[in-house]
Amino acid sequence: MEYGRDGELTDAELAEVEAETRALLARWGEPKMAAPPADLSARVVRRLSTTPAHRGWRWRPLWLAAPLVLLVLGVWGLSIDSNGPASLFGDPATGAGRYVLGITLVAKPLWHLWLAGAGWWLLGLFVLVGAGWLWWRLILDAPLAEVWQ
Amino acid sequence: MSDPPSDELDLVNRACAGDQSACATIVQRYTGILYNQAYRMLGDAFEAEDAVQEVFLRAFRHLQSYDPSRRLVTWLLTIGSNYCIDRLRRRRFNWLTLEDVAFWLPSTQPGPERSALQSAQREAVQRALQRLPESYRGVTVLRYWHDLSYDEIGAILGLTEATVKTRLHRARKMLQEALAAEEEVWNTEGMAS
Repeated sequence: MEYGRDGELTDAELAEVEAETRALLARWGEPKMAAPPADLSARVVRRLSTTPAHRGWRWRPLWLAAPLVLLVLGVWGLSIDSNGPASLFGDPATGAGRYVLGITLVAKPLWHLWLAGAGWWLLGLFVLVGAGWLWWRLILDAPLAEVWQ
Repeated sequence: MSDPPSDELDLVNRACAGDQSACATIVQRYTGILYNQAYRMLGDAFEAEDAVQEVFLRAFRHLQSYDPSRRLVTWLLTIGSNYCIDRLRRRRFNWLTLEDVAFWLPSTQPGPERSALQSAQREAVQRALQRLPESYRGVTVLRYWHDLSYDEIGAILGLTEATVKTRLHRARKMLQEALAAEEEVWNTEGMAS
């Protein structure tokens, strides 16, 4: 049976095509639920009990904050003074100030490295984004059936 | 959309509190449904088993974000649907073996697994399903195998009811054509044997 445009079926037509499809499937002995292996639930439960929940997530904010700290301390160290951030935490020669000074001194060469190769970095990033975009448009967005047939 | 059963919320709360028996009950109750969804979507029993394990892992990892106004099964099917679509997309970049290709093509020779009429019919439907694009396959499986309403399918796949109807409309036509092709192969085999 032919109907009008997609999604414009009346309730009666919809009920009819639904019944037709169910009858067609019934002719093929479907729909039937595929039975999972008998031990699948037990395997899932075992795996759940051996996989620690939320592991890694607890420390994730720290990993996200670390580059930001390096970025800020590096910029401060390069543009103003290496001792500046450390002096906020007391004497740069002792205690927490010493650690902050250490991080600032680590961040500065990283910034130098980045600035030295900024052109290449940007070019690489541009190529990477472009390739990713092409990959997405040409392959991921294509309907599966077109790929397989 | 129907309200979630009252014991579901209790189960989820207990599972969130770390009750292992509540987790086990949820797993036992929904393994079959998730396995069926994954099997119909991915078309492979081993991949479906992996999918079920992964879906439950993801579900329990994010159980705190479960919205109690939804049925647990629709929430789990949402995770299952996303996982299957991700997996189908990743599959495109894997090298195919000749066996993989053979799986996707309609069989022209009766193998030993097709000896039983019922199982051969099921395989034919399974092959017909695999020919549908993933977005159409998803709505078809949820509608006809899980008997969900358009509203529920829309909630699971993040679509409007109109889009669900449109996709189902096209999917029905494609499924009819695919099954007609299967029937042709079926009849040819019948005459040949």
